[in-house]
Amino acid sequence: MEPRIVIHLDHRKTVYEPGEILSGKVIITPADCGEAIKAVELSILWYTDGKGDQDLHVHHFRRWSQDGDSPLSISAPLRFQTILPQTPLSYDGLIIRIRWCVRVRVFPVKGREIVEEITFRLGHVAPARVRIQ
Amino acid sequence: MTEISGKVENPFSARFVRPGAIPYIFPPGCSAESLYQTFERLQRMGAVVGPHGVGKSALITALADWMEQHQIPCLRLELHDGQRTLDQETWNLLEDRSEIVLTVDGYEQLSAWARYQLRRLCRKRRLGLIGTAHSDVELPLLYAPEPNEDLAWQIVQLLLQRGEPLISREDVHESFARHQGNLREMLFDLYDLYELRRSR
Amino acid sequence: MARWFRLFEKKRGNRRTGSERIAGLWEAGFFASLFLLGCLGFWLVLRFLLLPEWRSGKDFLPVPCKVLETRLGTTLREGQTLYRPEVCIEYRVGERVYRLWTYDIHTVRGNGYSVDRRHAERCLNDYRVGESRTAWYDPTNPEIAVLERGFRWWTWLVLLIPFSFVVLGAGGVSYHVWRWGKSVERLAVQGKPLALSLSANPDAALFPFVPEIPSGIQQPGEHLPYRLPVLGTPSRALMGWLGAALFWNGSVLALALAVYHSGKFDWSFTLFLIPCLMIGLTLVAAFFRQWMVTTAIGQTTVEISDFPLICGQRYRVYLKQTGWLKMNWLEMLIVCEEEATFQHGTNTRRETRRIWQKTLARHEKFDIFHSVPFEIETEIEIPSGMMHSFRSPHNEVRWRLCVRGSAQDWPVFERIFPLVVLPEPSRKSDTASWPRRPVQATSMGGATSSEGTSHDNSETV
Repeated sequence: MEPRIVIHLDHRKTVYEPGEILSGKVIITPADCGEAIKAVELSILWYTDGKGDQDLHVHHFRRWSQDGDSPLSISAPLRFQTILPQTPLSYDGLIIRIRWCVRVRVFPVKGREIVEEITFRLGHVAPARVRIQ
Repeated sequence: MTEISGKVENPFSARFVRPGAIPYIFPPGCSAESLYQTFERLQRMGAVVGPHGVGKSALITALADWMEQHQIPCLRLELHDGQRTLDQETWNLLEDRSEIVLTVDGYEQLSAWARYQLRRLCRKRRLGLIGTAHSDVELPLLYAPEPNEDLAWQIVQLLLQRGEPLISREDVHESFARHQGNLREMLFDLYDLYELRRSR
Repeated sequence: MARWFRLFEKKRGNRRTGSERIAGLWEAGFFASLFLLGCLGFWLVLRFLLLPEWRSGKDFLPVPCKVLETRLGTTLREGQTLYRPEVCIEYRVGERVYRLWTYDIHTVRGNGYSVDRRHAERCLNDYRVGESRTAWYDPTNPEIAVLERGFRWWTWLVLLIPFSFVVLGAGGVSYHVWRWGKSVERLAVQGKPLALSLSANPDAALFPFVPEIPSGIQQPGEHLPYRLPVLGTPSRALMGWLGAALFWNGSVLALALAVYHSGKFDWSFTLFLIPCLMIGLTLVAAFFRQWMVTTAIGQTTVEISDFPLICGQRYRVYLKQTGWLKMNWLEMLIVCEEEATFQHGTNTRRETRRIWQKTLARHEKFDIFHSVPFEIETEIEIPSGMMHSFRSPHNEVRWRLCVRGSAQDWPVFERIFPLVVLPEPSRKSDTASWPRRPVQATSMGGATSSEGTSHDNSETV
């Protein structure tokens, strides 16, 4: 059975302030599939979207992997925590968007990797809107 | 980067419309395989010719992907703006290869001398050569993409699978006509239209 | 000069629908074959070039010899005649006398040819028939003897070729081994970002991906604490035209002197010279026009009360315009723009969109004199909730002050002054390291326009 990833952010927040602590947990089910997983990677990153080529920067990275012959322990949620930077803030522009997200990749022993992500907002920048005359 | 499945904010964003991001749509009766067979008949030399934004880069990408999937060794070169020649290390590398297919996106940017040298090297080393150009070059014509409005609408429908149905056939008709068949500009134009409607 | 581009480079985004792993294997195999080729070449150069030279210098023993004959050895290779010096010597080792044609170790091994005939002849000139010289013989095989020993300088250059293959191949294979099976995020974190970082270590910066304060900003200004640098000064255009005019006219003059110095009149060259002279005169005229524009329009100076700016804050701005102009209008704007760069195929597409603009001041129908520059001081407020300055390799949000003007008999001019705008401090920010708060507004400065209408602080969206 293919592992399923669920990402929870603490306090059910979706909007964060710069300098605030972002924390949460990753739950991978079923709990006994640790033997079938080679590694789990978590990234807290921002990327751009829009009319330009995509840029990306990883702010926080963590990797859990099998220790020798021992299976990866995922019976307990995998916790993460980081202090968010001052910039760049989340932004909805006309031709540029900046998105922050928590992205988790699971690398099974066999088969393709599984990816899941949730987005959150950093800061309170208003969407850019221009009246077209 | 591995794509996350699901709806996106604007399906006309750059990362969804660049060459290779969507499957190349061949006209009826044409496929990557048939193009490759034509390429073989042309002594393994051919050019993909067409004006800006008709899908030359997308085609050459699709063809290279097909070749790789069918275990045909392929080497991809992408020339940047104003690149008039290949550097010495690249020439040395090509000298050591044989029986592969070389795709050159932006072949016409090379100077006449560099193109001649490249063709000569390909013949000498038995390399296949496919280049893209905006007008006729010394290579035999392999394919000339001619997008029409139906194709444009098919592409848009593919893209809209990731988003909301905010773009109509009429929008595509207007934009395609305004940009005179330049699919790239049409798609960027639809980005703005989608963004405007999404925000209402 | 062509840039080195990586083969099998994956473009950003989902360019491929095929397998990354297979592509990676092909690439790794490619670099592995480079590495093996390099190793083979390295061994060949060592074995057949360097090692013999080294042995002849280190292991061979001296023996007196007599020069019997000299000649220029030739051979034909691929349709080209090659040359080498050959000297016939006679020497004794033990009870046996040896006679052979030699020069250096490569000659003895059947090689040593080159295209340079003169060099070979010069080498031969050092030897006279009948003279006694010292030769060096191989103690393990006395039939081999040489007159010249040591390394040839070009042998080391030849070694560089396979060495570069080894380095390339090893580097490529190592890179792929290191990269194998790693995700995009992991690679980005491990010092090999797939997206470039602006600074060497953006995570160490207080405001990552905010552009640095532009170089050229001066502190203090004449009127306010900071003087802003201007983008693309008009003097650059002036120097450009001057350089072009000097270069072109200098070349034409030199060519004319070379042709006419003999005193003969050449009709065909004269016909060719006429359009060249016209171009030269045009360049000179362009230079003078630019000079007049630069002199007449003069310098635009903008100063500000604090830098960088912060969203939600107010600042004083001072503008001084020199020159000798009858102005139709002059305005100062603050603008915020987005710029997105997209590389599609072989073209780079750049799109700019203005998302916010505010006219800080506008004055109409007034005169500027050399002795009386135009000066105004006004106020900017960067609204709360606006996007801060941002720059990544392909996307940018930028703030600028623009001064634009139209004067009688002159084209519209525009001067751009880049700004850096920071986000508002959040409650969680460590404001101890935040830029100091701006100077509070006190009184509005007066405009020194002589007549005409003026408008301040109108917003255009």
